[in-house]
Amino acid sequence: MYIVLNDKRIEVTGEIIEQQVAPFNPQVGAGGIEFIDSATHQIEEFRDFRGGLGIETQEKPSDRFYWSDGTETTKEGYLTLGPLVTTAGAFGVQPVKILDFNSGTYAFGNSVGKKWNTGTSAWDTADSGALAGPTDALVVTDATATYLVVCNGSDVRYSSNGTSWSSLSTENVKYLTVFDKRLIGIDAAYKKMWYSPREDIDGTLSSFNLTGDYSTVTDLFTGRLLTSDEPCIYMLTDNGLFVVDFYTQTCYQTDIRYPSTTNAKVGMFWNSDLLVGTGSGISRMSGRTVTPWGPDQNDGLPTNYQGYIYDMVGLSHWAIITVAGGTNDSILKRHESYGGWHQIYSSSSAVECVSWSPLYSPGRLWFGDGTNIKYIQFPDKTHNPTKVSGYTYAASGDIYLPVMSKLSSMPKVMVSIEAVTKSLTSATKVTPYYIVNDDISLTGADWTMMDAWESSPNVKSEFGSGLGISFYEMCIRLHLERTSTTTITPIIKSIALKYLPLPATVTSWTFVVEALGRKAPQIISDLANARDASTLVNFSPDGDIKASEHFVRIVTMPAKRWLDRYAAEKQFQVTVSEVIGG
Amino acid sequence: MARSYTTRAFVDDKGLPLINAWCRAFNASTSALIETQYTGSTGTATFTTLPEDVNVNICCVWGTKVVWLYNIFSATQDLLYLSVTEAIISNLAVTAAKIANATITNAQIANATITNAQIANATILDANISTCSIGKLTAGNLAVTFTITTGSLSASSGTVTIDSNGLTIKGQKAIFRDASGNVKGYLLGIFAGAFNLLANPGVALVLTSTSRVVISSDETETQFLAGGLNATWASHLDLPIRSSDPTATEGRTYYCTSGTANGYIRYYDANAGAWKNIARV
Repeated sequence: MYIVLNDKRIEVTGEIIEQQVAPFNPQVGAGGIEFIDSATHQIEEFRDFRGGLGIETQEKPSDRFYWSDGTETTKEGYLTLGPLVTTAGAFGVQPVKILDFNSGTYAFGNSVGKKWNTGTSAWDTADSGALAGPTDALVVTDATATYLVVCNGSDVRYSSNGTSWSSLSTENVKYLTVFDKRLIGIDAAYKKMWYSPREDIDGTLSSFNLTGDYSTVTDLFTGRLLTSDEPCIYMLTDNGLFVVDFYTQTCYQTDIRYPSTTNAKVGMFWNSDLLVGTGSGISRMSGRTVTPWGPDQNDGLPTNYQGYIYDMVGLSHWAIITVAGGTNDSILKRHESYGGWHQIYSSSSAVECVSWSPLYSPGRLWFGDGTNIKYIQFPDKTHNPTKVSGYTYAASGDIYLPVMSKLSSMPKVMVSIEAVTKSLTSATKVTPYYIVNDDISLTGADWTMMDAWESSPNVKSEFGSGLGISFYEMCIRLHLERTSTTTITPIIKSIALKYLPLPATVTSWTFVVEALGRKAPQIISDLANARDASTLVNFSPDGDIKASEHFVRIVTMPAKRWLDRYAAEKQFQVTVSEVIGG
Repeated sequence: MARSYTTRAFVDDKGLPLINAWCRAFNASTSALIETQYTGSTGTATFTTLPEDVNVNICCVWGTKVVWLYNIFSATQDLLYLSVTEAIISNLAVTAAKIANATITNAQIANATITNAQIANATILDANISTCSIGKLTAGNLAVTFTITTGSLSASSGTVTIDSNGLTIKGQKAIFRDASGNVKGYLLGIFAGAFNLLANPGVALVLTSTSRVVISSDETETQFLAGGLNATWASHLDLPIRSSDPTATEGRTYYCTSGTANGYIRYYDANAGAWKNIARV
C-alpha cells in the first residue's frame, strides 16, 4: 500500500489511521476558573458602559457602546431606562436661554421673556418688552442688587426682580460675561468690548476696541489662564479661542484653534479645564495640553445624530452639551474624569440650549425642543437615579452594542444571549434584537427580535431556537420599556453573548512506513525533506493525488539521527496533519 | 488741605499699560481706606483727596497681581516720629521742613542748605555745624553762643550789624529798659546831627568814674541847658585859667595869671561893659 507525500510515493504497511482534530482547544487556566475556561463555548460580556458611546465595532470587550437613546448608561452594572422627558407647557418660540433668577426659572426667545409658574405649570410673561432675537443672558450680582441681564446685539435689558425691566444700554452688546466685578460685553460687530464700572453692573458702559485675526465672535466667558492662573476673558471666534486681556485691552489667540468656522459656538471654563466647542467636536485644555473631548471621537455619532455643539453647561461633575444643527439634535453628558459621552435625549426638533436648575427636587435639566421647553430630572445628589425617590423614567429606550467582531474571519455560532437582571416583569421588560453580518442600523426593521425578558435575576434567549446562528459579526440591540408607571424601570446588570468558534475540521493521518532494503535511505531522505519543507506538502492517503490531495505538515516522525542508525532496515510511524480545514 | 498723587505707570510683563486696574490708597497707620481710583489709558492712577497729615500706602490690583506703593509721600513727607541715633548726611537739601518733635542725638551735617526752616521748639544739645547757611531763622527760644570770625549778624536791612569790628547802628538806636521792660533811655546815635545819649524823663544820667570824667569838645563851649551846676559834694571847683580875657560874654569868669589882673578872678560885667576883678580879701 502506498501513499503520496511531498510528491513522493512511499510504501506503507498496516492501516492508515485517520482522525479529526478540533482546531479550538478548551483552555483551563492555572489559577481560578475564568469565563474563557469554558470548555464548550466562549462568552462576550457587557456590563459596564461608562466608557460611553461612539464605538461601532470591537474585537475585545470594552466599556463602550455605539449609541443609545433613552437609556441610562452611566452606572457600572446598572443599565436602566433614561430619564422621563416632560414638556413644560407651551413656550411659543424657540428658547435661546434658560436660567434661574430670583428663585425662579426664566427663559428667553424671540421677543419673549417668560418665567416658569410652578403653581400652574405654565410659562408666564415676565417681560412684555422682551428683546427680539436675544443672543445672551446672565445673572449677575453687584453691591446693589442681583440682576437678570439680556442682550440681543442691539440693546441690553435688565431687571432686579424679574418683573420690572428697563434698558441698561443700547451699545449693541451681543454676548455677556462678568469679569473684575464688571459686566462685560462684546458688541455685534465684534470690534468693541464694553464694560460697566466696577461693582456697578448697571452703570454707564465704557468700551475699548479689539484687534485680532478673527471675524466673528460666537461666545464670551470668563475663566483663568491655565498657564498662569490669571483670571481672564475668553472669546470664542470663528478662528479659534482668544483671550481678552482686560487690563491691557488687547486680545490674543490661545492654543485652541480650528479651521475657520462659525459653528464653534460655545465654550466654558469648568473644573479647572477649558472646554471649547470647535464645531462637531470639543477641545479640552488642561494645563498646556489640548485634547479632543467631543462626541465626534472614535466612530462618532450616528449619521442622523451628528451636528455641532450648540450649548454647554457644567454641573458638579457632569458636562452637558447639546448637539444640534443636524437631522436629530441630542443632549449628551460626560463625567469630568471617567468615561465618555452618554445620550440623555434626542429630538428631530431643535435642541440648542440647555440649563440645569437646583431649584427643584431632584435637580432639573431644562432644554429647548423646537418651540417647547422640556425638562428631565437630573439629580444633583447622585448620578444613580435608582437611588432617587420618585425618579421618573422614559417609557422606552434602546442601547446599541458595538458590533461583536472577534476573529471575524472565523465562522462562529452564536448560541444564546443571557443577562443578569433586576426588576424585570411584564411591566418592565427588555427585548434583545440582533443583526448578523451587517452594520449596525438605527432602523428598527433591520433587526431581528428575540424573546422578551420579563424575569429576574437571570434571563436567556437562544438563537435559532437552540441551534444557534452562524455568524462572523453580530450586532446586538436591547430595547428597554416600561408600562405607564413612570417610576419603574427594567435593570440590566450584565449581558453575556455565548458563542462557539467553528472553523472547518482539520484531519490527521498516522501510518507506518516500511524502509527496507536498498530503498531505505531514499525513503528516509524523502521523509526528511518533506518534514523540513518550508511550505506545506501535499499528501494522498490513497497513494494518488488525483484521487485525493491534502496539504499537510508532518507532525511526528523519528529523528534523522535515529533513522540514519537503522537506515538499513526499519519500520517507523509517521503522522501528518492538515493545518486548516475546508 | 488734601494732597494729590499720581502713581507710576503700571504695565504688564510686555510693557503694555494696565488700564482699569483697581488702586486704593490706605492710611499707613490705621490701614483705613482713603480713596479709590482706577488706572487710566497710560497705566497711572491719580488720587486727589489724600490727607496731609498721614503716611499713605497705595495698593494696585489687577487679576491676581498686586503691587503696593508704600509711603508714597516719603520724598516730601512730614517726619512725625523720627529718632535718629547717628546720621551722617553728606548733602541734604530740605526745601520746606516742618519738624514737630525731633530729637537728634548726634547729627553730623557736613553741608546742609536749609532755605526755609521753621523749628517750633528745638533743643540742640551739641551741634557741630561747620558750614550752615540759614536764609531765614525764626527761633522762639534760641540760646546760641558763637564767635563771628568772618561775616556778620545784621538786622533791619543791615542798619544794625555785629561783626568782628564791633556793633554798627545806622539810623537806629539802642534801647535800654529796666528789669520790668520799661524803656529808660536810648542811645540814639546820630540824631539831628548830634550823637545823643538820652535818659527818659525822671531818669538820671550818671557819668561815674573813680578817675576822671572828661568832657572834651572842639567847640567853644560846653552847654548845660537847664538846672544848675551843683558841685556841693565836690572838694573844690577849678576855674578856667587864662593869661588874658576871652571874648566878652555876660557872666564869663576865669582866673587871670598875668598882667595887672594877675592873681585875680575876673568876670565880665555886661552892665558896665567891662571885665572886672573880684577883689581879694
